[in-house]
Amino acid sequence: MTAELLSSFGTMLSPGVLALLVLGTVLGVVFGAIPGLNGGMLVALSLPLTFGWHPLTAIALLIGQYVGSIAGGLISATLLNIPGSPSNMMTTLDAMPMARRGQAVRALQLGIVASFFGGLVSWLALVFLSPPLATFALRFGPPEYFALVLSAMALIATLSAGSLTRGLLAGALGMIAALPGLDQVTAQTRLTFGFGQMAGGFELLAVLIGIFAVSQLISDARPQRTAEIITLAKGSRSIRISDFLRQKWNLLRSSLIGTWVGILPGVGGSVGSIMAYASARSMSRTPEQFGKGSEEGVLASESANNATIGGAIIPMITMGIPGSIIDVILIAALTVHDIRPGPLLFQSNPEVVYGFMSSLLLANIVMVVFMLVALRWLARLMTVPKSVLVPTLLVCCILGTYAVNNRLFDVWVMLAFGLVGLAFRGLKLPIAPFVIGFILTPIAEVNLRSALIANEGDWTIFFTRPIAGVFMVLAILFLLAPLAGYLRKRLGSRSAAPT
Amino acid sequence: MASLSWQWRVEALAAVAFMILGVVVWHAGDVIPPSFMDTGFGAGLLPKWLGGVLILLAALLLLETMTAGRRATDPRTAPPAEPDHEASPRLRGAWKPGALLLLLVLMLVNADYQLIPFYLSVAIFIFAVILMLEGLGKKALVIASSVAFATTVVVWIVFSQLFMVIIQ
Repeated sequence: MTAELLSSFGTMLSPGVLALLVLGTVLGVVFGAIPGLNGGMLVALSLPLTFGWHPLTAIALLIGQYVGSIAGGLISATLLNIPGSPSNMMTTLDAMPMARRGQAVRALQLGIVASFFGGLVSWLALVFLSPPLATFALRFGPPEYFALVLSAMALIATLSAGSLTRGLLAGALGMIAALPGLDQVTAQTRLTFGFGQMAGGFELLAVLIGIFAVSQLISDARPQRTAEIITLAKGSRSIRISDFLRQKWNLLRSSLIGTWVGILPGVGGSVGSIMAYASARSMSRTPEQFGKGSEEGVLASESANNATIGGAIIPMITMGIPGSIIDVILIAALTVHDIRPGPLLFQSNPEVVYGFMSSLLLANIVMVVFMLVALRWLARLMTVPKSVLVPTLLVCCILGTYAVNNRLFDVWVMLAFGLVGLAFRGLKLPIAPFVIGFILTPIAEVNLRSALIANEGDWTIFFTRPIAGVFMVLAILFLLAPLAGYLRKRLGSRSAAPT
Repeated sequence: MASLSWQWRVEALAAVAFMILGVVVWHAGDVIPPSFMDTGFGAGLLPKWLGGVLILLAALLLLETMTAGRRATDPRTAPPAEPDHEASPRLRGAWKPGALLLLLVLMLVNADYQLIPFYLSVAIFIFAVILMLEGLGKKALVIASSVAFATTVVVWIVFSQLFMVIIQ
């Protein structure tokens, strides 16, 4: 493994690939820093450009963008009180008060280094956990795969913002969107409603660009509340190594929480940073400082949200299950290059696995260096007008989607899914279960039907095989957990009510 | 309170639309004929299941929405209304996403029917959107025309010349 990893570092450090990794990270930081733009949008928009590239080159660019966008959100969280991405939500609570006290540079520097630390811990988890997990996943047959996908979807729907009903509804809609086209088992056409162009189903990239980028850009046209922008004061106190040594347990704990949350399918950085923040507050000697400019809060939130990246890549490369929304797009990138993520990836395309590992570490290094050096320049991004960004990016969306198959039908599909994304925002339906349902349905369907055909229609196969049974029980527990919480609350409020 | 009541009506309508979609998907799954290699778990299995699940979830959403709607319109439980000075600027610009969407559709229709060259329509689209978002004025005109020109040239070079993506 060491030799392969070192060889992969060699590839990533070749001038052309490294330049793309640096470009990706810089673009990611810029997109993360500008409110309204996000990493999902950037990665989806860049994907069509990578079609003709070598897979490792594409991975370098996309992983750089992924890492940069999560870290870049810190800047607007600190200077505008607007999180660049949902995962920077907890950072605003303490970074903004620090900035108001004239410590904006210090808050940003602490956040940047904490992001790097989180990235480093999750990289170690990726390197050491992926191979045994992939070996374990080799034991999976169709029943196990179906049960795994089902439990992943149940978890995503349960942990999504809003009600369980809305999470499940969004997931079901995503699964339905994946149905049109040729059936993979019998090659029959279904749900095309007479449109010949739908025989291949909805183009994945058109769906992703529509739902992430187009819906966001259209809603960005609405006038925004004018935000207070804090400028970087000169001569503010810089960070020292002792600042981090004092907080070593907080950093380690938060990074481990972030990594673990990242491994859970579709949960993402926002939950990771909330859990790490809550944990740091409960363990702190000065919990009363949280929310008023606590350095511990900034470190916990930022280390955790960056740690989710490495964690989220683990289930993606070992089982083909996306750990986050951006991982869905990374799976699309691999699929375009005829690479199927999953346990066999370690044998069929080991260079891709080690490519993810090496590019993740290098992207984190590039991110920390770039952000520390270009901090003052990045702060100026807060003033880039939306009026220029919105039409420019929409044109890129159209051309990027058209480039996939050179047909305008995909562009109309993109626009339709942009409207779906807008409707989801309006109806407060979470987008994560939708896109993950969309990408996992073909895997779930093929494995469900293969398992049933092989076992002559015996449904108990999903419960009698140990690994599948565990996943099925987990799926049921995930779905029942909110109901149990609701009943406990009802019983609690009834017993607390005066008689 | 008015916006809350509007919100639950939209959600109720959406729930009904999801139910109809569920019925359509269920029916589309049901009419798929069995193929020669069908073993009882054919192409219609998942559409039928998912159609049924969607109908059930949409009914639950409708129930949740109606309960929330009753609370929103009941003066004893309704949350206080937002002050006008916060709501009005957002409402004033509420037409802008719709106008942007219309411009986008016009550009795509043009690409479909080739009325004017695609990259000319790109320049016009960018120019119009910037003016719409910035408001009319000398400065906005300068920004809109320069950004429209520069962006179109860059996009043309990158997509049409470098990546050979040619619309039309």
